[in-house]
Amino acid sequence: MTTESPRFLPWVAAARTGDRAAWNALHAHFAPGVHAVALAHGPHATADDVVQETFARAMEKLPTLREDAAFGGWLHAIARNLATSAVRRRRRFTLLPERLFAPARPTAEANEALEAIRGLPEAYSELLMMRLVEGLTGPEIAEQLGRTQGSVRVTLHRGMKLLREALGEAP
Amino acid sequence: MSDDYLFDGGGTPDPEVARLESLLAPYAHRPRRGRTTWVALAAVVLLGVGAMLALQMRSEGAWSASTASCSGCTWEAGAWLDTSAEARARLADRGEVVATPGTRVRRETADGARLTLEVGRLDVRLDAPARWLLVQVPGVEVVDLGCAYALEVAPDGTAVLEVRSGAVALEGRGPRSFVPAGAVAASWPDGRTGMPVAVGADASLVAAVDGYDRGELGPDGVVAAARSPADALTLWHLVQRVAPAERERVAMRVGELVAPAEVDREGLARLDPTVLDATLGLVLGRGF
Repeated sequence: MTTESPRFLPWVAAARTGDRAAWNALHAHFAPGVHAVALAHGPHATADDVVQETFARAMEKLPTLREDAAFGGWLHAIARNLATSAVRRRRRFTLLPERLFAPARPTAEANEALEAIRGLPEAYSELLMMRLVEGLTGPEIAEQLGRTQGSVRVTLHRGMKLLREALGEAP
Repeated sequence: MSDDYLFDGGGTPDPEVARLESLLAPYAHRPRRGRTTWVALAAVVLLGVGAMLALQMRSEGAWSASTASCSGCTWEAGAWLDTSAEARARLADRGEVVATPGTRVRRETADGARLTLEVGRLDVRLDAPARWLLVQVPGVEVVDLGCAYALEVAPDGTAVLEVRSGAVALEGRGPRSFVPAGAVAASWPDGRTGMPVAVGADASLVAAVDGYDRGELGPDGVVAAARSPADALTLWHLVQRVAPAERERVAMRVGELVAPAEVDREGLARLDPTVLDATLGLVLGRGF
């Protein structure tokens, strides 16, 4: 088995020098996964704010990241901390007309599914959000989190099994 | 059933996985990866002559403005927007700006997101990577770090920034100011950047910070007026601006306000970069 370097490594190195194009690339690459983490821990209405704040924090703290290869896990940890902070809900944008930026409201059926995923242990809920909501594939998830494809496959499999049970028990 | 479809989308589709994908897709981060490209490609194939349109949709997109006299007009690089009534501008597909009446703002270049706000007020909402948009106000650059904010420039060139989401940096000739959501900071045409103050801070702190920023008062009033964890954000900036002999006292107060057992006050007084980062994290976690 060969081990390929994650394709985001050059972007992290360039981002350390303040390269805006590299930040653009990192944002495009990681934003869906970060959004999934936000969805796993909080409501859809605040997930975009968490994504924005995560990248803002990452930019401030990038000099403290020791290993470029750990960028994905490090970024997701920032997102997790932000998403689980109840305080952040106070920071929601309030003054511009809401209609300009109103997020989609989940339907009752979608909401039931989202809640069922959130009810699973964190290890499963975040990966299932990445796969089922964001459309990331297992190999993409593995690359972003710095995990092996085998471990992601197993986690998705177990998580989906638990999710089927949770949805089957729902009224 | 094989879990290939669940893992990488290959093999026979799992009906339940496919149902959930379809049900939950509207709640994904936008723009969606992969599928957006597929949609764009499909448009090219089905419409034939739609190739140019698809390419435009995948690019940075156009900047447009809607004012009292023109709806959805292209906002060309180098053009000023003078508003007699509220105006709204779309910054490609990355954000939106609402300008209040009496605002004068120029789009600078076609190859970057850069505005010059001469006077008036902008309410900015971005869905973009950090540092995507730079707004030049007199003497100082306002750098978004992924956010929503309001920025107002008075006729004398003084600017006031209030951040609603994410964070913004003020970069001038003085120390950089980091302004997170829930904080306000000022800047001056000579390039000075003010220290941020939490929205809702006591008036005595606001007055002390204003006096310090203008060079009219010393740091004592700021330290004395800081009484909450959110006020420690101001002190976090102050410790980096005062004379070395003053730093220990400011660092001590930061610790008292945030988490005495967790703040490395000696490291903070030394302006150790790692300690500064860690302390800022504590301040943001406890105060905002």
